[in-house]
Amino acid sequence: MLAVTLLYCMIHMVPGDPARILLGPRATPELIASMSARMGLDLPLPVQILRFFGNLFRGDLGMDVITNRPVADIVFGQLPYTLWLIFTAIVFAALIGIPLGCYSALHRNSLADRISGVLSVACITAPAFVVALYSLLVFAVTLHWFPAVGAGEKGAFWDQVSHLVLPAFAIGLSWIGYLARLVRASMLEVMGENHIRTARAYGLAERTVVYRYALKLAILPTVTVIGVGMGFLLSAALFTEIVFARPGIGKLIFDSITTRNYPVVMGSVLVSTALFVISTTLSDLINAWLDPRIRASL
Amino acid sequence: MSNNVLTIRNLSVHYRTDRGELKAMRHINLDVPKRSIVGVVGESGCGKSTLISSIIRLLATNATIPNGSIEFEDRDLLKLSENEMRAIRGVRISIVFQDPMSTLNPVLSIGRQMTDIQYRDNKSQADKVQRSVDMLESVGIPDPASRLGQFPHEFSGGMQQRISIAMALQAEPSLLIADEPTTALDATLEVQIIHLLKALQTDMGCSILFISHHLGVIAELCDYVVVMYAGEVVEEGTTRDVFHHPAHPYTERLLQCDPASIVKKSRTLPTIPGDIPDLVTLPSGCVFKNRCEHVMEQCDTTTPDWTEHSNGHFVSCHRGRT
Amino acid sequence: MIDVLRRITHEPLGLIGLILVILIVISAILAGVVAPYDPVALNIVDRLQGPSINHLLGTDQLGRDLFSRVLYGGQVALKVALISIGAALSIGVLLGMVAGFGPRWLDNIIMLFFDTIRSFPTVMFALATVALVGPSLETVILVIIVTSIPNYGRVVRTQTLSIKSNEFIRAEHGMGASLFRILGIHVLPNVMGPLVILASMDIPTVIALEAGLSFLGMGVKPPTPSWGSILNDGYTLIRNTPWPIIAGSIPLVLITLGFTFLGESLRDLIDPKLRKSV
Repeated sequence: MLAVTLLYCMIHMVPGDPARILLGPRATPELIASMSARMGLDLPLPVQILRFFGNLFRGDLGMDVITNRPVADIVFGQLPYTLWLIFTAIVFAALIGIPLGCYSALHRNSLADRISGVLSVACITAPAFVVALYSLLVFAVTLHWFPAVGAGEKGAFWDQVSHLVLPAFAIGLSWIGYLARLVRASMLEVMGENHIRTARAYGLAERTVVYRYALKLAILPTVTVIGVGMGFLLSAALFTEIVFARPGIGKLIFDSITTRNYPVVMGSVLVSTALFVISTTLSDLINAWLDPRIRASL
Repeated sequence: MSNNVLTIRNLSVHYRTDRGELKAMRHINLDVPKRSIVGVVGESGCGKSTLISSIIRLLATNATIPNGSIEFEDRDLLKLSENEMRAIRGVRISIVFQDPMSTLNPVLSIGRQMTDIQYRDNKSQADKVQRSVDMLESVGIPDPASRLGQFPHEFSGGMQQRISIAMALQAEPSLLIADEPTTALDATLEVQIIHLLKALQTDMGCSILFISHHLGVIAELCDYVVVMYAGEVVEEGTTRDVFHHPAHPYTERLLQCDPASIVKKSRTLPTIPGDIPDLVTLPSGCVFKNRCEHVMEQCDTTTPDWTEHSNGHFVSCHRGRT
Repeated sequence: MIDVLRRITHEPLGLIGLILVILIVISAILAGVVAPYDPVALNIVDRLQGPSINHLLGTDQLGRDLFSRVLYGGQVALKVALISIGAALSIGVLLGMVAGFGPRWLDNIIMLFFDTIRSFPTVMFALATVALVGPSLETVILVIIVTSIPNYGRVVRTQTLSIKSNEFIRAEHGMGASLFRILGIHVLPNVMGPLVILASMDIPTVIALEAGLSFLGMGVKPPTPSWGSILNDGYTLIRNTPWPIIAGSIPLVLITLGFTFLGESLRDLIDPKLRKSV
């Protein structure tokens, strides 16, 4: 909420009337005035902000001044693309990163652990848009394994999946490294705890000890990190959507910023910030579900 | 068939450290006769935990066992494969650990943990649950059936220790190792747990290796006592012999230091001056010489032999020997 | 300092990191001497070439030598990183100390400010700012300063708070020692280690952000070479030639790797406790 207020203030601190920029240099003063009125820009700043929040309460994000469609429609039309992308990326990263982290923790200081450690760092540092560019270059443009642009035909499931592969890979790659390191660290910590010694002392198979007794605890920080990492995920999604010319909320923000379509910028930034809050809450809930100690304190 | 459940002979355990070989345990002899309770006493760092870990073969990865044997039910545990060893853990040898609050898995229910460890039995899930309920009942958990779904943090420390004991005895092992099971509990609970252990031991006919630094508890519970100091067993015998006629100066001092035995008012609690010797660079001769009030010339040069002081009462000390 | 350097070079990853960083820093500083061509000189005849003896990394759509552009791009990246992290560090330290030592209401305001910034995805904040102020190197630097202040501010605040409650500091304060003296003598040395580590781990993030914004056309204005804008050229030319993408990404990946390895071994050396929290 504060973020939106800040954004509003920023827009107004900038010299230059958004309406004038929108309509171009040849617009008549009357036209500009009517445009300003439509955008609500003629009102004093605090009133504008209050009005925005008032409308927000009714689920109204305002109107897109260019296409004259409700911003909410536009934003929520693009949202599923981004959500699917982020979801796929995280699942992909978790499927590789978590086992990798487990393996490293169980074979601490082995050659495989060291290699995976270095690779993890390399993965983490690789910026999402560089990975996106390379996967576009190698797998789409050169090898033609996967389509390069768009999100696929609506309703055509496999088409959409094949359009999802490369962008999800681009976002997920750094998370593989991140999750692998995280799981390794928390796994090492959990494996040193007393109850693991107990489980072993009762003759439980090492597999049971690791995957049922230790992993369930070691996975908890991962959930939190993914929840809090929504901001990074959205940023990465923005770059990836642009590189792959894929519809989504990141591309929407980028496009509306370049066209100075402020209501849409406001709406989509608001929705992404909300997404951030929701994902943090969601990760807390999942943690409570996994950890009876947290459940008890709720 | 020997008369002992557990016979340890000449066992040493070393740890590889940055400073060199840490000789945590050296040439230990220890017997646990059938249906008996053997107490192990000694201050922190004397090798008690190493002893336990080596019996169930869950030593840290930097540990080596240069020599010795651990005979359990006529098999040398050190020669078993990992799979054979796992079949013994929790079935023939069980452990109750020190801190009940951290020995149970915090995110799995009690019932789950208790049925999980019965995974070897070819029983139906319902039978396993029933077995768990019976065990909880026998350690005095009220209304056990309804508490199976609860998690460890929902029980008090004393209750958690009872659950640990139930888990340990579930498979009716022939040896129960109790690693300071009452240290983390307050005095009233301590007495309850001790009585519970004693009652269960009589019922099931198992042996208990009871590790503690609480002399009062040892005296009350145990048939035999083993005194450890700096990785060596310095005295061993029946509880009566060791407590009433201590033969090693360390045991003497230990008994003097027990708060329960202090009769005279004094400003300071008695202590044993000095520190445990460095286990990486062990001095020659007796390990206790630097803290011993009866130190003699030969203590500095020769390691005392393991000798029978009186019938069944062993000690390693030069004193009183001609 | 010398000792730390010596110990870093004993670790393979630290050594690799140090070498990479030094290599790229030197080549960026000496870009004017080393670069075979003017990075903005057009040469339409030789456009879109692959690597050759004349053009080590090939040329772009305007025939500009990519190798020279990469070298000069390093200057931009390092300039952004140094200025923005330096400024963010100083402001962060100042705000963190004020928040830690100042009155409660001021602390609350500063923390609210920190939390607000952190709740924004960085890139979106950057884009919004650029959209309003217009793309330029200064905008990028400004955005990075604002978004990284909280990282440093929080560390300093925590440290200040813990020192503030120290009996001995209270006594000294009571005896009339000035605030600056206390902050300078007791707080600064304690936070220096974590801050240095944090900063060295932040450099790759900042460089990647600058490249990202330039890639979106929201950073450095053409024709100034930046790794991001080279990548952007590569993106538009992706069906014609792979070389601009390769040329732009190599130094970017190398320097982020270099600084990360360096930062990690620094952290392990200076403060093993931090290992878990970062």
